[in-house]
Amino acid sequence: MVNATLVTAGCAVLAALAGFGLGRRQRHGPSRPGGSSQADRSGITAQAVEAFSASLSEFSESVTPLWSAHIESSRQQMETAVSALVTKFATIVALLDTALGASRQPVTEVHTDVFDSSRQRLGEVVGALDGALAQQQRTVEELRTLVDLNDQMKSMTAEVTRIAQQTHLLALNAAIEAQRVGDAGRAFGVVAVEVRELANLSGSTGQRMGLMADQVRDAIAGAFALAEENVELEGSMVADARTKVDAVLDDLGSLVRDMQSSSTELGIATGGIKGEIEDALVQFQFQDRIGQTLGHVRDCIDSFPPALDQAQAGGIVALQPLDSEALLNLLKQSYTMVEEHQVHGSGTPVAVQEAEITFF
Amino acid sequence: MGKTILIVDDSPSVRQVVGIALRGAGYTVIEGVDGKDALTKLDGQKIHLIISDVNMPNMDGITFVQEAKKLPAYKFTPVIMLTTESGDEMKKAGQSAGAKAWVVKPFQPPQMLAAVAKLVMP
Repeated sequence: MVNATLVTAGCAVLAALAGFGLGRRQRHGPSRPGGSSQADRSGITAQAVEAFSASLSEFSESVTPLWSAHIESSRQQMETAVSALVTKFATIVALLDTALGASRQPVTEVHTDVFDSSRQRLGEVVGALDGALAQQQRTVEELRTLVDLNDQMKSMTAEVTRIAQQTHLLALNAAIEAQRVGDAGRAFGVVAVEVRELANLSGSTGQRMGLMADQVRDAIAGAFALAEENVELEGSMVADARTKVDAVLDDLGSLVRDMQSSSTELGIATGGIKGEIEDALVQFQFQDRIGQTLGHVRDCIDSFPPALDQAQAGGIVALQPLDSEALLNLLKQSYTMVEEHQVHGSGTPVAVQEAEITFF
Repeated sequence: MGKTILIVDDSPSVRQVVGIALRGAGYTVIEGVDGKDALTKLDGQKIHLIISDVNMPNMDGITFVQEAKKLPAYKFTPVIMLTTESGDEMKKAGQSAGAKAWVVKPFQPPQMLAAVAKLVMP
């Protein structure tokens, strides 16, 4: 990380260069003993100092601006690149949010409730079919009862016919007795004849009732057989429908559960990716810190040429020492981070401290 | 409707990083690129919290907070300073201006969100 280490080194080099030139002037000053050779040496020394001073100025005018320009260029490029990267990551996070939302849509609690409601309603439909089937079974039972009643009626009809036959015989016997009695039995004979006619009528009515009972029984038996056949068929169909509905619902339920499971896994994975990206984005905050430090270094380098000009303002005969302490203090005043102060004091890189929050 | 937070920082990447954290937590975010720009956002709209950097061009964060507190609609809006500065002098200046918290970058999103949740207006 480019930080105050570069600052300290750069300013120290520049200050040393200026101090070297001054030191040479002091070592080879006019206090040295000697005659004309001393004047020659003084002239050579003055030329050397002037040349050095000129080179220092040229250094200040040509090299330090380049340092500053490169640092500023790098700072701007880094800021632009990091900003673009953060924008890309922000877009990825937004897309992950969209994917997360879409993955949850197919199977939510609402859809699960709809599935359960549908299962219940289909169950009601199958239940209604069961109810209709039960109704038909009751109808079949009623028909069976009718058959039994009809059989009873047939028996009663046979009884009537038997009674009519018995009555006819009695009437016949009565007629015979009436004839045997003679005139006294004539009226009785008439009654016997009437009774025999009634018996004949009863007997024929009984026979017709028997025939009709047979017809009714045949009709009921036919209806009963048909109803039984329908009950059996519909019972089979209802059972089959129930089996198929249950199978379809089981398959759908299994599918819904699989989708829920996949949706949950996708949500977990997407959330994990999103979390990792958001954590990575935290590291981009260092661009701000690095940019500030580079800016401080750039400003310090920019302050060197004016300081050098000031030191040389009086010409080579009045060179002033370059105040490196002032440059370093100027640099120190620009610091905004505790790490910059720590590097300034130690001259070595330091680790960034953990973030802190202070509540007032 | 979600709560609105104003982020003020001259660094686009910082605004984006903070914005991602806040939007992920359900907040609505508006941005200012410096103190002067941020003052134009204080146009009467409801803002539940302000997060401001300190070192910015045109108008620094301390001055921005002082000016914002002069506006009746934002006199009681809580302010969190988010900055690389960690010196006590600066913190005191922020507190005097009306800030409620001082967060030194780089921040961890859970810490920032906890501070926001603690201070954001109801």
